[in-house]
Amino acid sequence: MAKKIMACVDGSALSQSVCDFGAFFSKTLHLPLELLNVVEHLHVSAHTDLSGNIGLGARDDLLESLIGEEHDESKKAIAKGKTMLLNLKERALTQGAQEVKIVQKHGEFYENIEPHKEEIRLLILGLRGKDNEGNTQAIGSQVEELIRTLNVPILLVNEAFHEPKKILIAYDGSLSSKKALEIVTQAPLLGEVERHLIHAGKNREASLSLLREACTLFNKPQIHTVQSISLQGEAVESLLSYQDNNAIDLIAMGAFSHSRIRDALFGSFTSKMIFKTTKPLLLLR
Amino acid sequence: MVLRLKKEWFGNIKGDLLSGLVVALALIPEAIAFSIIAGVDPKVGLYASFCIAVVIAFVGGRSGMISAATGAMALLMVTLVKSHGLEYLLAATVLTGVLQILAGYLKLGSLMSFVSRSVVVGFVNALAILIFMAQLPELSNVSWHTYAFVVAGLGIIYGFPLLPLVGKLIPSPLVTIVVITLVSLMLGWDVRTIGDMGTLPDTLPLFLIPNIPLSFETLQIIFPYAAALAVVGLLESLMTATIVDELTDTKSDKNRECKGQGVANIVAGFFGGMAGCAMIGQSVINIKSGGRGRLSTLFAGVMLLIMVVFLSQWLSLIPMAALVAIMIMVSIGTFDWGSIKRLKTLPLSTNIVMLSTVVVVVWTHNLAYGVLTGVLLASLFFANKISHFMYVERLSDEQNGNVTYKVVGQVFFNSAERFINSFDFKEVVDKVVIDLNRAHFWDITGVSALDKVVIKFRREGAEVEVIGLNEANQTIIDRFGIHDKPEEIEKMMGGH
Repeated sequence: MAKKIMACVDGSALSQSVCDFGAFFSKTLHLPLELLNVVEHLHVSAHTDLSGNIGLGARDDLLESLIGEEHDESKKAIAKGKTMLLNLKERALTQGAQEVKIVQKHGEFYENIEPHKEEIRLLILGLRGKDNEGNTQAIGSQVEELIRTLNVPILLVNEAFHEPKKILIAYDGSLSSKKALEIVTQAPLLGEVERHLIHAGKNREASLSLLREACTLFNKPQIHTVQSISLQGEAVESLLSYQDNNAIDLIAMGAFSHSRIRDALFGSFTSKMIFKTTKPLLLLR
Repeated sequence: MVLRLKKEWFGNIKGDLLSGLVVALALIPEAIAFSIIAGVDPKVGLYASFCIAVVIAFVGGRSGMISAATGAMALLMVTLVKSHGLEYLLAATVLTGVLQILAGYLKLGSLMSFVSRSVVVGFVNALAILIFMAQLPELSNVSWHTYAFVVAGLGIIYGFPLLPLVGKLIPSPLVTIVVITLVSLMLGWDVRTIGDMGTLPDTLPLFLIPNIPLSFETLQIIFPYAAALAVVGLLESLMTATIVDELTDTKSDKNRECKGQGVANIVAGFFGGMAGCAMIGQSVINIKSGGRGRLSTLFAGVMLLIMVVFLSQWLSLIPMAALVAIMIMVSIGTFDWGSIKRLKTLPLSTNIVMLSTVVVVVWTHNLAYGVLTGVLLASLFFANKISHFMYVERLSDEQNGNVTYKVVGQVFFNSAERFINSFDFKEVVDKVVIDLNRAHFWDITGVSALDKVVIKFRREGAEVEVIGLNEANQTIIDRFGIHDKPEEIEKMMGGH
């Protein structure tokens, strides 16, 4: 099945960076890039009418006024989205993207991506969209749901584009982690980059043996530079401080390996990482 | 899905809370009025509205729709309450809920597709008329004071929103109630008030099992009522759901709504409330006031109970005339004025279906009968229209005295008679060829009509050859599978 890189843009500050990452991967993987803009509909009236009465023909009148309002709103949103998409397409092509297709759709984010999941090699999202612009504490409302339910590699973008040269692969020995490693070794998304395989845990012995086991997967062609490092301490903090100290450009990890209930009770590693990281996160499932 | 749930509850918090409040203000008079119609204390309707609204907010299939005690359901309870009392009504309510849940699991919600649009319109109009007619007892044998209040009430309801600035910020039903109550207290006129009609709730609803003998005899008594209530409740709820779908441009799960209605009614029955269903008028008010999510329904129910329990002394002072004004407003708003305007432009058969639905409902006070009538008539009109799509062409072959009859179109129960009469049996022929390549038989009436024709020809000494029978018969079989495949449909209907 012909694959593509899908980058989701909504006109917020991160959209340009999302597009840049899309162009970069399209160039390195020789795959077409699709820029998707989902036109949002709020379905909520801007006028407050609390008069609480209904007259003759109330239903038809109400329907007419709602249609009129939403029609105007939608047209504006579509026009804005179109302009943005065209600008981004230009930008992507100048950066060397293979072929760029722009798509505008109505409806929900998820229902527009899910049917195409077989064709998506990599999905690129901004960590927060227009709704949370400027609010560095917030994450887009749809991000967690998308990650949990779509089994495609997802790249979360949260800053301007830098070409990834050094990447950190987080490994914790779980099934999801092993799967992530399989994807990295068998279908690598990046070519020649410096890979740091990190395990953060309390027991150094156990940690080192896990890493040895993981490294065997790397003894296959194409994957060259791999350093494996064992860190002691709390997982999220250790990984993030390593990333800061070593100028890591991108973190790759398995995502949401535990059930919702456990995550709700104990807090999820993936959520914490998404919240705190300042670099792009590549989530593999 | 979690995302959808989040959106349905938290996607429109401010709008939902405000609209829930507006709805609650109109729900109070309605619940009281419908209790009176059913012949029970106002508190039964109020408890019912609270329970149903709150439960449906969680389990219903259509967010933004308001369900509570309704007029359509109240009308079906009158005789049960008169003959056996409140406890039997509560038991019937619980049984109604059970039947509705069953309907949900049997996916009967999908049967709505058989109810044509004109039946839905007729149902809505009949409901509006019934709500209006239910106000008439309050308007007969009363002093002119009552009429004055009603007219004044309507004036405030429709006039207040026209005021600049405040008009659209304060719900007019609230203004009406407050103004009319104050005026009646100040002038000291003797008009009927809510307090005269029965007891209002003074506590939160309490769980109680209906006090009835658990016997087959009880079941025999309550089952017919429960069945009617279940059917009418589901019909009104599904139709209202369709209307709310249109207004909000979103989809809803009809079968889930059936189950939700069932659960809500069971809860209502066990907490001293009568059976209810979705309300068109209130749902439209909710959407108009900016409500879209489940929070609006929940808040409406909760505010209704809070206001009623904590303000019950003042509630009993409100003149019935104020309620009547609000109910008349609801009936005016529920009536589909556009359908009357469209009577001129739509075909006669559509109008007959709509009008007969209205007439049967108003005459029998039972919405289910009306819908049955409407569906039946709509189906018969449909069969009649299709039966015109058939003709038989006679081609005679001069050389050897053969006659070929070419049948084109749909042969079924309605067109069978015409089919038989299309053949000339008085003609003397040696051989008759009946060409069915472009004909479709839809049921065995068609086949037996064909047999009759063949037999008649043979008894008159002719040789009969039938060609294309296999193709023609393909439409008799209940082949559900092929209907989705465009190529199959093209093959079958290509030549019509």
